[in-house]
Amino acid sequence: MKKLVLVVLLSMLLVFAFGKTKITFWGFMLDDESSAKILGEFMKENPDIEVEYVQLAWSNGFDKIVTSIAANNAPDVVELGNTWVANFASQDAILKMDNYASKVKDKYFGWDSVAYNDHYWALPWLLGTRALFFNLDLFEKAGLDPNNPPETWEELYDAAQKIDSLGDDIYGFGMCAGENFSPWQQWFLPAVWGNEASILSKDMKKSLLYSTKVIETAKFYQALSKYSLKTKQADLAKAFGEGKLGMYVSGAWDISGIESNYPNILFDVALLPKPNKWSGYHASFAGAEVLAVTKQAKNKEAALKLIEYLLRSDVAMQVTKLVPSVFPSVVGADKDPWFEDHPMHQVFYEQNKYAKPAPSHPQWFKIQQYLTEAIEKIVLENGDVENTLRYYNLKIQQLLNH
Amino acid sequence: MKKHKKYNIETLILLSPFLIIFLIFGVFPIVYSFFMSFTDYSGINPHYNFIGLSNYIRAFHDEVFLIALKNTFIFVLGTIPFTTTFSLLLALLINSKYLPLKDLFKAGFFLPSVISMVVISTIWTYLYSANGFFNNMMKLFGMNALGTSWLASTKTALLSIMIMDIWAAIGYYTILFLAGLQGIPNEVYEAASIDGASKKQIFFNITLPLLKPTLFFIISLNTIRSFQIFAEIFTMTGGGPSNSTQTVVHYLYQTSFRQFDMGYASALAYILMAIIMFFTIIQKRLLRSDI
Repeated sequence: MKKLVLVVLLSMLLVFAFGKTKITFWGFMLDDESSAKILGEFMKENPDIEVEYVQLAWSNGFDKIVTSIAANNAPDVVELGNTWVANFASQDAILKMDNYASKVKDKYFGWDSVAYNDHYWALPWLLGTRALFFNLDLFEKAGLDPNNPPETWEELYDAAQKIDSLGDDIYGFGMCAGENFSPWQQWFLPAVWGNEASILSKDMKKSLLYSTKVIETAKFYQALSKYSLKTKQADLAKAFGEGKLGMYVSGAWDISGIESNYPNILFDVALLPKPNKWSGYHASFAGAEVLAVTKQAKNKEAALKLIEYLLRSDVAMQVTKLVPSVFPSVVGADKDPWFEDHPMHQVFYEQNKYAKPAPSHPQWFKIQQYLTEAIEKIVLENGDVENTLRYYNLKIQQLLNH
Repeated sequence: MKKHKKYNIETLILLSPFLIIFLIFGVFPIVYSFFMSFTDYSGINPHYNFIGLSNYIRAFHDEVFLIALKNTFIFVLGTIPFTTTFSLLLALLINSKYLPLKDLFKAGFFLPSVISMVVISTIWTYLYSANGFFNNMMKLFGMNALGTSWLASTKTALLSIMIMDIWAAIGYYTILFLAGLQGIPNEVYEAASIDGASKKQIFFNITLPLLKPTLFFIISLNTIRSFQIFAEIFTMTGGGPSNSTQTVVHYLYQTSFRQFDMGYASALAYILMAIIMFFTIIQKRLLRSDI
């Protein structure tokens, strides 16, 4: 009898000790406080699941994820930047999500952020994009209407020229240069898209850098660069805050950054200009935080449950309120009253509809480097547009042939 | 004889915790990555193929790697003479009898060595920025400012990092030189001055030859450190603009962790190792100390 009681007691202890499914979640967006709150609620709703959260930093998070996968010790759920999806998918490190995605496809935006090779490899969680910031004072001083920001490339060029002529240290437009990603993200590649062109063919086997529409875009970009401050993203934000820059392209994170660091600057945001009134569209670069389940995940079902929860409009909106540069991927999230108090963020939410992620190619890291080099040659060194594009077209093509 | 052997085993046992850790975390990765340099291992996909010397051959056809190699050499050759000369001069200055507040100078010059390179790089990024300190100074002296960050122009980016690096490295080597200088016995100087040697003679015939071991140590340490430059590039430019600041270690980081080409990156690491070894041996020959 005593033995039986002992056995029962021991097995009960075992159930209590190991009954909870434990999953790990590595992410960038949530800090200690918000993760405790958001994940705490999830654990309340799902008492059988315990989530351990590890916050990653942008500077080394990617390396940490790679190392953990290489060491066969990957987390169950991981937050990835959308440009990384093809990388991990091509290496077979994350799970295909086709089944789940097909069920919820109409409920969310941003599916091209998680697609690679005709499959979905993650779920879009938070979307971020870029829009045009413009200085109201400089617009007025240059005789432009601050209520009518430029809508087309021509208007943008004209405005940049007028503002640039206001003074030696006043620049019309801000162009990113001297960095890895920003030169093509803000805003060369989106301008190419807006011009209804692309730098890679649909099947991603052909480089289209040396094509009429891309050349046209690059020529416009080079012309605009004459009235532009060409430097790093952070420098542009600083110059804009100091009232030396008429317009520049940036993400919603700069709204609060400028408001708190430079309270005297009057500015607004608008959709990115399109090539002209009758063609093209207001294309912009889409950054997205997506949620993936790793192949090494021990508890795939619990992992999916957590993703489902994080994607919910009310949960994702909590993250937006904390980090107002990303917006829920859920359709209709802008109904939240928060947007009424934040009209500039509303513009970004609107801009999201015209936003596109970078092409989903496992060699994208290298391709984007070539693209950066090409843009820097064109705007920093005033290189010949056609020759430069022809040269880099060849280089990208060589990469695609491999 | 017997006693000697026992002593050896005891030593080994006492050293074993360190030796085990050293073998696992020191030797094993080095040997393993040498093996990996002959494969197409991606880093996250466990499957790989043995591809012989392909990675090594590929490196010498890889345009970016060659640019990185060239930049690394420019960096090494452009910084070491300055760092060494400046730190020697500073050490002589601090060591002289006439300088007051020696400790303040020592601490002041050594300070950058204590701060993390990432922090230094971040601060200097601001100094170099479009409307940062350097551009404003140029304007103040009536020169044409760059109109962009010093780090965003292909012409100035590498130079800017070199200037910062010289500034950051001097303090550490000054302290090493100072230790070397203070190790020279005073009697030698006294004897020389009794014999009527001039200051110049004392420096070139006594100080410099006696400093040779320190000099060799400093130059080889500096060579190895400069060949491995990474944190500055990673924080300040990411290798750009247009690869003008791409260096070997930064490029191998990119190939391994960004492009998932761990096998190729291992090969690059071994090429770099061979280069560093070659230069260290040459320096040892040139600066051979006879004392």
